[in-house]
Amino acid sequence: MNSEERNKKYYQETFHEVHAPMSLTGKVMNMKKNENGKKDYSVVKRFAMTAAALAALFVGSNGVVYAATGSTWIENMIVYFNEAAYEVDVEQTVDVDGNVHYSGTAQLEDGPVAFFLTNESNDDVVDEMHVDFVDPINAPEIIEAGEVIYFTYGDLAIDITEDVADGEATGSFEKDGTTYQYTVRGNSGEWDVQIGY
Amino acid sequence: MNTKEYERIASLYLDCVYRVAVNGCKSYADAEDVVQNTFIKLWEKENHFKDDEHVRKWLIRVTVNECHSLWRTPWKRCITSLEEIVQEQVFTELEKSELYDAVRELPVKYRQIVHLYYYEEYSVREISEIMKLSETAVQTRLLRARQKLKEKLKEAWQ
Repeated sequence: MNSEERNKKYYQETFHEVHAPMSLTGKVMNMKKNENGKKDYSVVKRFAMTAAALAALFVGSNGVVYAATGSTWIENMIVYFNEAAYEVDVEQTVDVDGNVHYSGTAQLEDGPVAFFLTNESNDDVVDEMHVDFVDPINAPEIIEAGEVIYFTYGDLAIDITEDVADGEATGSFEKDGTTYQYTVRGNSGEWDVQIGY
Repeated sequence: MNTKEYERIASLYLDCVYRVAVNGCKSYADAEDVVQNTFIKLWEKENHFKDDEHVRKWLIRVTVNECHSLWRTPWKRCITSLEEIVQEQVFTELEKSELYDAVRELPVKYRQIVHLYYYEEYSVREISEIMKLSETAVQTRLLRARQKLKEKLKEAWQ
């Protein structure tokens, strides 16, 4: 048996012992008894937010749109950062899949912050969103939104998911009239970002 | 799908779906949601499956898609779950527990590929189709996952 076959055997024997809990088995087997076919929402989710990295937002549109260019437009919105309300110009872009990407900068008391997120519900009115903080505004950041990896710099966000799959992503962008080169190396949670011009 | 067929398939593949979900989610609660969503889709589906193998592959694809859908939801992105503390997985041997923990420590995007490759024995090409990734991306993630498992498990992982 070669090493890969041994690893496979080891892995399979381990996960053979992983079984769905009885409570879940009951819900799945009783699925048929629910006339609407809806799942049982009695599963309790308990979670903790990483305080340094997260802000819960409630974003509501005031209905004022003063710029629209093709699939990108800017809307003045009330954005809550840690329960404090700020009026922010939020840039919204609709991609080819119909997902709406929001980005903007807000002048908080501690200084400017940039935020970026994606809403795939395609709702016209966004009720609640959670956003990664990028602070300070001039620091490049790598944001992992599920399977998608973004290089962000201020309010700029570049999807580097495919580019970084082999361990390194490179590219350039223009900001305030200057062209910058960026290099991102590493993998999930362990990124090395360099910017030059 | 009729009740009898649904029950037969659910009892046959519930654990299979659960294992894929656990490896595709950050928390057990999310994994349970994924499992329920997957079987809702099975229940609502007309039974046009060729055979049980066809059912199994369909269930795995749906489970993977449900995991991805879960993570596209904005409020899921930055939540760290405490479910790990509440729900423990018990094994008969320490080595299995160590492998399980090592796999759980992998990033989700590696974990699911590792599971599809080593447990479900899908090829790189099949995994790339299921996960809508290039074969290169699958191979890269598999390589990195193996490296991480090797670092963690030393001689136990070859």
